[in-house]
Amino acid sequence: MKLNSTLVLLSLLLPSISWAGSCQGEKNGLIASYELDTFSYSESTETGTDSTTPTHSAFFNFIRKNNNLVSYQYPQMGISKSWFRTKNQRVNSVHYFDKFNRAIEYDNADLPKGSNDNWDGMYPMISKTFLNTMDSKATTDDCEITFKHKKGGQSWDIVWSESLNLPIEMTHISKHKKTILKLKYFKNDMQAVVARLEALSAYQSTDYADIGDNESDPFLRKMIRLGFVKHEASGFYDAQGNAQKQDGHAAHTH
Amino acid sequence: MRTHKMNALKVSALALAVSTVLTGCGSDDDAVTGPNLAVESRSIESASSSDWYVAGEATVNNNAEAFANIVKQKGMAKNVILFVGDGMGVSTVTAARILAGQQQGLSGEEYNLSFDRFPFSGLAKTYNVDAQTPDSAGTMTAMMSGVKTDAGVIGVDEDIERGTCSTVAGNELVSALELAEIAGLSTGVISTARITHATPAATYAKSAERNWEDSSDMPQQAIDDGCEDIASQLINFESNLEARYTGLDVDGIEVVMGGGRRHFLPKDEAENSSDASSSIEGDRTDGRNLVTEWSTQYGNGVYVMDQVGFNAINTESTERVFGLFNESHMQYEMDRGNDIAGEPSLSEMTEKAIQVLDNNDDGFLLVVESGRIDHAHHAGNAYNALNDTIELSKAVQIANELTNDDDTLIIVTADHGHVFTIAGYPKRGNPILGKVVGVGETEESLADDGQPYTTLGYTNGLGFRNLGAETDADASYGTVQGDDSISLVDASQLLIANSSYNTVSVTGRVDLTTVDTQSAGFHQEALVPLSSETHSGEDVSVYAQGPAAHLVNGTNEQNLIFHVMDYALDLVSKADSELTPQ
Repeated sequence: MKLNSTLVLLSLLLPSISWAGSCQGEKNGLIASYELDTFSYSESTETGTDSTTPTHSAFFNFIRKNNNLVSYQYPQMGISKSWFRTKNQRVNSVHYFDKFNRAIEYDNADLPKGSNDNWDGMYPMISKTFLNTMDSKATTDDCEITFKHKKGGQSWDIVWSESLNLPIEMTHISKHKKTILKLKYFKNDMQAVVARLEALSAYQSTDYADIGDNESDPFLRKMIRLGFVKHEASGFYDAQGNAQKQDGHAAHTH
Repeated sequence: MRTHKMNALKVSALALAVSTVLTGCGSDDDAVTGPNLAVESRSIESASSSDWYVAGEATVNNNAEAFANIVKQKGMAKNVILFVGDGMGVSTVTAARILAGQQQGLSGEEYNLSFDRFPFSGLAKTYNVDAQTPDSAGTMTAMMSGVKTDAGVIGVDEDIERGTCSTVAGNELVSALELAEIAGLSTGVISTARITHATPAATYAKSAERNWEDSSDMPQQAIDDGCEDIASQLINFESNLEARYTGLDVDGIEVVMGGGRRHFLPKDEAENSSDASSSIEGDRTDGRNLVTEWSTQYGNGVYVMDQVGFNAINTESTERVFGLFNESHMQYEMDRGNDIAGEPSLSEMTEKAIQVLDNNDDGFLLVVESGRIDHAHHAGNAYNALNDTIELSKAVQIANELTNDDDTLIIVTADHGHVFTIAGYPKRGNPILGKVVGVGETEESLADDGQPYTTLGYTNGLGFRNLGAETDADASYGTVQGDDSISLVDASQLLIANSSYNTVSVTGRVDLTTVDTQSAGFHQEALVPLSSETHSGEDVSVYAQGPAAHLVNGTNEQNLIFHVMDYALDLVSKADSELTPQ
């Protein structure tokens, strides 16, 4: 799988995580790199997993420019999704496709109902509202809070950084799957944030409302054929434009 | 000047075929005894006392009178207003009419939209030169220039190669709006879509590609070859037109209102308006601020971008208005309340435009587009398509009230239709957005699969969505579907951005038993799964009132509409008299 060179380089340049002194960290102008490993889960094993080798590994970058603009970047799949909160508290989004240098803009109208409420989850990655519903909460030092929660056959263990307003680590167990999220790097660098967002904004964009008038557009045709706007797709694509399921496997075409 | 050197417009003779069908004549015994005149006589008497009979007879008489009184001579109109419902096919008009009536407590079927009451109507064949099912660029170019052309191109003829700038030169068409400018009329363009979108653009621009709305949309080759983006063409309309003809002096478009601010602003966060819906509102990569350029060019003009500014326009003292009310398209009429800074309705813009334009004693040409009927249909959402059509009807009504039938030709039509159907056998007065309840029944009719079905539906598209009170049709595009994405969202709000905002077609049958299909967010079922519901290739209606309205009749090529406007205003002759071609 071809990685986006810009993002790979970006990740390598970021400093290794060091929590000492991070309490004073600036929440905006932030780039954070996460690793997301998924394991098959079985209660019968001591570790809860069948193997120490994840069934799927991914990393993504989280970029927060300010209180109203965040971006999630998935270099393995060559896509990014930015979220912008407007003055009247509505949320818009732009999805970027690196391979094609193209983007699709979703007005609030184009997004699922409830997207405005979900800003609470987009901005800090995990909803504060959700964190506040957790069974237990323990402050480990001035900057970190540990949350634990079990509900409906699922469990969450979260280490939260108040200074970054982001998760440091999270383990989520559902029926057959164990997901571990780890913050690997972070950096406050507004210049880099702006540069990355500007690079994305240079992509040729199309309003989702205009897709119906642009089906002669090769990119949109390709996306439709691949399933981005069609049945059974995940919305994730590798560098070759192959649709992927959320678990990383190629989507089936029906 | 090319193409519009057309002299006599062939006007087909209008034949009013009035047929009154008398029902109930004869009996089973007729074959044996011959016609029973007594029975027939009673039947006529009975029919003539029927409200239907009386109303039909009155309509024929009114139509005959309207035809007799219509101003038929060429060049007798002072003003022309062309309304275009983007995607407003015949079935859309019918369904909107029923919905409008039902919103007023009527059965609905008998109700008339404002333009249903126009005395003349006909059909237009919408195909593009290269496409059986057309797009707005080709169809609006036909209506505005009198020449059918290819899909996707603006204001140029079929010799163009779409997307190739170098093929534009020599293939430009002259639009009715340009002719009106040259002839000394005031001019205006209004749309609820981006004002640089295909339909409004065809009034003022020439482009090898409908999507070249600003400099960032254009390939470098096109820029190097000297093509100008559509937004820039709007701002430079006056100078561009004057440059084509020696000695020509026009005063530019007086009224421009719509969405699409992004195409006029530089890509610079510092230039964002208070109505910005993106982090960087402007898209222009050439550093130009076209709003500023317009204001510099027209010191007497008023630029507005929100409802407050719009309301403050003094139509008697204002010579020129430039309104950009949204970063992209304006809101659906039923979603206007959610706009950031507030924006006017189509009918409000129409009223304001006429009040500004009618300050010119020489008359005006105004083009009004209801641009989002099309978008709602593409999303498979009849609710917004129909309510935007009703708003268009309101705008037409206001135009009718503000103008005189003796000197103003009003034409209402669509650029194309959609694959939108009214089907089943619902009883009279059944909610048009509802599920079919048969004649004489109180329970919902069931299809062969044992499930209820809606009267309205689409042949293709995304299919069923139920977004409840969601008033924006496009919301369907982003519906989270699929177990994986839902688990991420619902389980923990974790990695919300990881949730799949892909669109999943749900074509075919869905159990609608407990679904409120009349809600704003309901999206009708569709047969063929496509990412977006499509245009249709069927004819569209054309409605007309005022001088030369009698020329709107029968089934014609869509480019006839230009020629009707030309006939009414004698535009080509008037413009020619002002010109000395280079």
